[in-house]
Amino acid sequence: MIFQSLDFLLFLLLVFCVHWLLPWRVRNLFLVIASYFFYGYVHPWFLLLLWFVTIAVYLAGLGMEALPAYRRWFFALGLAACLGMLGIFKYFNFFIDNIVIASRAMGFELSQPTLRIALPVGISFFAFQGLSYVIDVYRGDIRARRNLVDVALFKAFFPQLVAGPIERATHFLPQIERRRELRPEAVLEGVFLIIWGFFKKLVIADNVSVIANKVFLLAHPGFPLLWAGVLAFCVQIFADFSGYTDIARGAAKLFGFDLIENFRSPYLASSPVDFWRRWHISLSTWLRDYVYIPLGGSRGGRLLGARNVMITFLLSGLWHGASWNYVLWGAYWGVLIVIYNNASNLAPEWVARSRGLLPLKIFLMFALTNIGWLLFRETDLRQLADYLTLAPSAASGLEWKAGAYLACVVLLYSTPLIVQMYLGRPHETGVYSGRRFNSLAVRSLTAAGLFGGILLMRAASSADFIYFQF
Amino acid sequence: MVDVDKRASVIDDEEKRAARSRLPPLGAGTALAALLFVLAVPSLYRPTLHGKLPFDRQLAGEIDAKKPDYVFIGNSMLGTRIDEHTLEARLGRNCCYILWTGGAESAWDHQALKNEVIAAAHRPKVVFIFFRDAYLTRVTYRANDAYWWKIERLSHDHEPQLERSMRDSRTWQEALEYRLGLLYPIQKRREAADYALEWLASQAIDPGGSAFGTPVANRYNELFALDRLKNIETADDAAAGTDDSAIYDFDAMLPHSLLPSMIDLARDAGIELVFVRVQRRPTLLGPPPQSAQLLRYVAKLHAYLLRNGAGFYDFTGDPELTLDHYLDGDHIQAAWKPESTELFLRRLKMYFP
Repeated sequence: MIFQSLDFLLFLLLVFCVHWLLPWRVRNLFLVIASYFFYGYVHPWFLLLLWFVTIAVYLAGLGMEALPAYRRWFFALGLAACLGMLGIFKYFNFFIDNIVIASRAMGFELSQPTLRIALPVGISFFAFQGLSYVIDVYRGDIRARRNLVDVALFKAFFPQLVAGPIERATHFLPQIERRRELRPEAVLEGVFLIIWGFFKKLVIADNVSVIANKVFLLAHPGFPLLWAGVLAFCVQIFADFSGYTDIARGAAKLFGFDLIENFRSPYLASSPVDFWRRWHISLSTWLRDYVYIPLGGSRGGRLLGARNVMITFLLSGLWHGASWNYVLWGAYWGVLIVIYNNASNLAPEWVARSRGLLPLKIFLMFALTNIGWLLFRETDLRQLADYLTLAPSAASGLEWKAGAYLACVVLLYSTPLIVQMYLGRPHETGVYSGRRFNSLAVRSLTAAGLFGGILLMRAASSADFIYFQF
Repeated sequence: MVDVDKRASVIDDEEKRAARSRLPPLGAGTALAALLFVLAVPSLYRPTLHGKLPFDRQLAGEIDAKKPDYVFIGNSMLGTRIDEHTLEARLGRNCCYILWTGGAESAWDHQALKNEVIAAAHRPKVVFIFFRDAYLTRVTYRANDAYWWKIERLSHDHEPQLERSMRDSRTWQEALEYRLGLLYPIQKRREAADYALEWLASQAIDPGGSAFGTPVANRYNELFALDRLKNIETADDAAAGTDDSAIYDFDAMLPHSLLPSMIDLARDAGIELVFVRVQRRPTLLGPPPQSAQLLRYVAKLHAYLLRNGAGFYDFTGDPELTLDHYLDGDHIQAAWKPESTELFLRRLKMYFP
C-alpha cells in the first residue's frame, strides 16, 4: 500500500480506531496483522520474505542467549538470513549482469539468464533493521526477546516498514513493550506531521519532479537546463524522502510511538561531515555504529581512517541500489569526507570558527551536494560523462532563459521547505523553540494552510516515493 | 558514522529536541476541535467564478470553415502518427481536420465528436478515432485531475450522458475522491495556482514579459521536443499497461462506457465512424506482447463495432511498424510521421476512394 492513496488514509483511520478500542495486551498483535496487510496489499508473496527474516532473527537472538557456546553460530545465522536475502533479491541481477558484461569484455560469450528477480519494496530497510537486532543481541546491548509478536512488530511496523527511518532495537523495542496511552496532543502532533509530510510529497516533490524528469529525459540538455534539472531533483529527493519520514513519524505517533528523526535541515550543512549528520540520519548512524566503528574508525591513523571511510561510503552507495552510479555516488562522498578531514586539520583555526564564512561554506556544500545528486540520478554512466563535460559557453540563449525559469519555479515550490529549514533549527536559531511556534492555534492554522495547499497545488500525478525502490 | 568514535546516541539528542517542540497536554475535546478546524478551513474557500470552464466553440467553427471530408480525433497516439501536410498532399487541401489533445482519452473523444464534429453545420464523411488497447471503454481514465479541464472545454453545462457514464464507471476510490472534490471546491482553482506560480517565475526572468494566465512553459517547448529526448521505453509510463484485469472485461465495461453513445451519435448524423487501434511499442523481436485477456477484449470489441456498423482497424502486428520507428513509449518518431501517415492511407484505403 502506498501512503499517497485514499486506501492508505482509510486503512490508517480504521487501524487507529480499532487499535485504541482493543485491550492493550492485544494491540501489538493487531498492529502486526495490520502491518502485514499493509505490506502484502499489492504483492502478498513479499510477506514470505518478511516472515522469513523475522523468524530468522528471532531464533538467532534466542539461540545466542540460550546456547552461549554456539553464540557465534547463531549470530552468523542471523547475519546470513538478512544479508543472504539482500544478496539474492537486491544484488543477484546486478551481479549476473556484470559477470556477463565482464565475460564479453574478455571474449567469452555468456548468454543473459532469463530469470530476473523482482525487488521487494523496502527490503534494504527491514534487512538493516534485522541486522541491528542480531548485532545488538550479540554485543549484549539488548536482551533477546522471547515474545515473537514484539520482534515481529519491530520488524514490520507499517509506518516505517518500507522506507524507514531504520529503527534500532534499543530505541523501539522498549516502546513496543510498554503500555501505551492515547494522548490527544500526541495524536494531534501526528496529524500535523502527516499533513506536513503529504504537503512535501504531493506539492513540492511531485511538482518539481516534473521538471527533473523532463530534463533527465533530454539526450543533450545544455548546461543551464541540466543544472536546473539537478536542482529540481535535489529539492525533490529531500521533499520526497523527508515527506515520507514525516508521514511515518506522524502515523507512528497516532499509535503512541516515537520514531527517530531522519533529517535536520541537510542543505544547511557547512561540510561533508556535517551533511551526513543531517541527511538520512538513521542510515548514517547505523553505518557508523555497525560498520565504521567496528572497522576501527579513525583510531588507526589517517590512512586506515580514510580506508574505513571509503568502505563505509561505498557500502552506503551500494545499499541504495544495485547500480554502478550508486557506487560512484558513495565513492564521491567518501572522497569528499577524506579530503575534508585532512584539509580541516591543516586549515587555520579562524576558518573553522568564523561565522562570517558560514554562508559561503553552506553554498559550497550545497553545490557539492548537487554534483552528488547528479551521480545519484543518472544511471547511465556514459550519459553521466557527457553531462559532466557540458560547457556553459555552449548553451544557447534560450537554454539559459529556460534554465533560469525552471530554477525559479523550483525555488518557488521550495519556499515552504526553506522556511521550515530555518525554523526547524531550534538549537541553532532558537526561533522554533519559542512558545509562539508551539501554540495550538499557530500549528492548527499552519496545518489548515498546508491542507489547503495540498488541495490547491498538488501535482496532477504522484509517483512512488523514491526510497521505495531501495 | 563520521562523528568518529563518539557513540553519543542520536536518539537521546532526538528526544531532547522532540520534548522542546512538543505540544502541551491537551484534552480530547480541544484536540478534536483543532482537528476539525484544520479540516474545515480549506472547505470555506469556494471559488466565486463559475465552476466550469467555458465551452470552446472554436473547433466546430473551424470545421465549418474548412469543411473537411475526414476528421481525426485522438490524443498523442494520433498527433505523433498522422501528419496533416502529408494528408493534404495526398487527399487534397482542406479535406482533413485533425482534432487532438495531449493526454485525455475516451471521454474527450466522445465530447469532441458530439459537441464539435456533429454540432458543426458541415458533416464530414468519415471520422477516425485513434485509441490504445482497452482505453475506449475506460471512461474515467484521464478524465480527472490534470485532464478534466480539457474535457470541460468541450462540454456544455449539462452533459447527462457523460455524467451518467462517469458516475457508473467510478471505482469506490474514484467516487470518494469525487465527493471530496465537492466538499473542497478549492481544488477547482488548481490550474490558476499553476499559472500564478509560472507567472511569478517568469517575472523573475523577464519582468512584464508575459501576461498572467498564459502558459509560460510553452515558450520553451522546442527545447523539450520529442526528437530531443532519449530513446527510452518507459517515457510514456502513465499509459503503460495495467495489471487491473477488470478493464479487459469488455462485456462489463461496455454498458458504462461512452462507446455506444459515440456509435449512436455518428449513425444519427450520417457519419461513418472508424476506430483505429494503434500499435503500442513493439519489442526488438516483434509486436508488443498481448495478454490473453487483452486479445479476448479486442476480439469482442471488433465484433461489437462491426455489428453496430462502425469500422475497426488494428495496427498491432503490422510488419512495417518496427521498433526503430518509435521514439518514447508508444509515440512515433517525428521524422517517420509522414511515412506513418502513408502507411495509414495504404492500410485504410477503402475509406479514401
